[in-house]
Amino acid sequence: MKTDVAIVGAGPAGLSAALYLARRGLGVVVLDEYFRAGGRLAGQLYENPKKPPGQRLWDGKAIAEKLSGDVKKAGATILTGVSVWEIAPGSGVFISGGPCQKIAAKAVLIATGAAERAMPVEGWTIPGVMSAGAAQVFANVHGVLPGRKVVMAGIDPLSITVAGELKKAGVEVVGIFLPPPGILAGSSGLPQWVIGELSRSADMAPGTFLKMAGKLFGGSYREVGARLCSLAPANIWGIPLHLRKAVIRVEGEEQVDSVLTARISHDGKIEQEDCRIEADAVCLSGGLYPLTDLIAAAGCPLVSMPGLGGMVPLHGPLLQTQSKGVFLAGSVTGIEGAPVAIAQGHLAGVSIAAFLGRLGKGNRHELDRAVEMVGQAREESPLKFYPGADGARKELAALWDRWKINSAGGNYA
Amino acid sequence: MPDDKLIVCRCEEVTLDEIKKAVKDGASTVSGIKKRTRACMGMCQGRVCQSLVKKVLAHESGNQADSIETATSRSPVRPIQLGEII
Amino acid sequence: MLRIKGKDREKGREGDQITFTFNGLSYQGLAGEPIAAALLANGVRTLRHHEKSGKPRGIYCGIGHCYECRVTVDGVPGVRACLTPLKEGMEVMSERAGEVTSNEN
Repeated sequence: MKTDVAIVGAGPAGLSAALYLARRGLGVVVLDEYFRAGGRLAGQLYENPKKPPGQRLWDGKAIAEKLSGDVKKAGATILTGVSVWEIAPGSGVFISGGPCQKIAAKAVLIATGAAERAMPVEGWTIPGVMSAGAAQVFANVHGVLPGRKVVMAGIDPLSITVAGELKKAGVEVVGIFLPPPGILAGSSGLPQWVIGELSRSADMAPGTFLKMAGKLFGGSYREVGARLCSLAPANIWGIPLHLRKAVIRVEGEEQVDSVLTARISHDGKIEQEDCRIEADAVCLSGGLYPLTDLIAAAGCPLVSMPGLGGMVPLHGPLLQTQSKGVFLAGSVTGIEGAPVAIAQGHLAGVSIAAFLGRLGKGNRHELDRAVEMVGQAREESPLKFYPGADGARKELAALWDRWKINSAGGNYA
Repeated sequence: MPDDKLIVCRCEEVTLDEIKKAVKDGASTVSGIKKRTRACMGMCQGRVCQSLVKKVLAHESGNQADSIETATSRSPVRPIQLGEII
Repeated sequence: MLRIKGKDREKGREGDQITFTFNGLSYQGLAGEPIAAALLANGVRTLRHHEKSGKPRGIYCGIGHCYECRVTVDGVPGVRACLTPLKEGMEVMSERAGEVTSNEN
């Protein structure tokens, strides 16, 4: 199969790039491993208090449906159930499970999104233990619950959101607990650190649910101090949020039947075993990181940016990479949420059109406008996944400039 | 210590203790851990456990986890049948 | 049942009720939903057993990254149950310890 642009990932970033490019008259093939387009948009439903009234509802499922419908109407091809296993810079991508083995393309956009960070607990391989993201997909997208009585381990915006959604869907959420303290949980196992992170993200949190969390933790330091001293759980929508208790073991033979919890000291040490709680499912949450395996295998250097969720591929302000004709958009460039991904997808679309000489004279302003729109989306973003994203973006830009100066690469004005 | 039996790499069932031992035996990179223990070498290719392996490496060597280099990604980044490449 | 009841869910996006088998037993599911969702809705959590230890494994990441949910579908081994839409009459088999697991097509 031959086209102008191959796009890897049919999430918000990939689809919005596809829409722009197809409307410009370019041939576009969008590829995704999932059997339905939309990526992680499909599981999202919240209100953004930073938007004007009337524009606050974010219905990811509806947005995904409209986007993929528009993309097809504009003439792009979406291939789902197809895995991309190699980028051949300058000539396209190799695929598995599709109608052919290679999509020949003049430009490639990598929009592979994010993966979840593991948060291991002894017994986490027992059936019934799954990632918080998995529970969200099964409940919100497929309408199947992970269990009747669920324990959440790992305290972060994702786990709190998923716990609330499960409860709303009729699950008994026994509680949200700290992960077991130790090397692997690291700071996520420390009560003080968890509260700091929550208050930083929750003052901009979507929906009543996280706003309540914001009030709880963002309120006063005295209150936060009291919470830390107290062993009593905070309460969010009737779900106990345990800041001084951790899940230390999951038990069960063929499937989960209980978890063991322990009291945790201020500085994150196990004080004493607490109790055994019956449950038929456990969700583990450790946050998200950019899924970079495909772009890294193409030789694109990765740089460490904790403010963006981990290792991110080095890229320029127009989402170009060191490989000519290979571009990035969405969470693969850093964890920032769907509205930013949509704006980045649009920018990547304009940037690719310019690269292919298809932007047209007098349309250079479209590039500037698209860059502005990414900035605006960031400002309006209701949820910060990682504190320090702005600083990390600046650092990345500086690294890119340094690379450009030191090399002959990059033919951008 | 529950750490002993804690599985870090689900695919290859490699425990925290085994990874710590590999570090003691001289592994200082994710690649070194892979070669000694098979962690990160299973079906998921480290998508689940590589960040954990980095944390162990960092802790045992007294460094920051983000200072540990990510293992080199090589294609194919998804399991494919031999017939698809030859 | 673990399937969410409610107007929106019942209409659903997936299709008609169909019959499939898992390890020879017959189950009902919705056409087009992932195999893993259909099995979870039926209370089936163990999808395979680990090749080395024989320990049971089920859904973990839900979006194709971890390969924990790989099963054999109509004779094709190594298929991710979380990514594969269910069809009428599908024969799904658990991969067990000692069996050679080849890769997805």
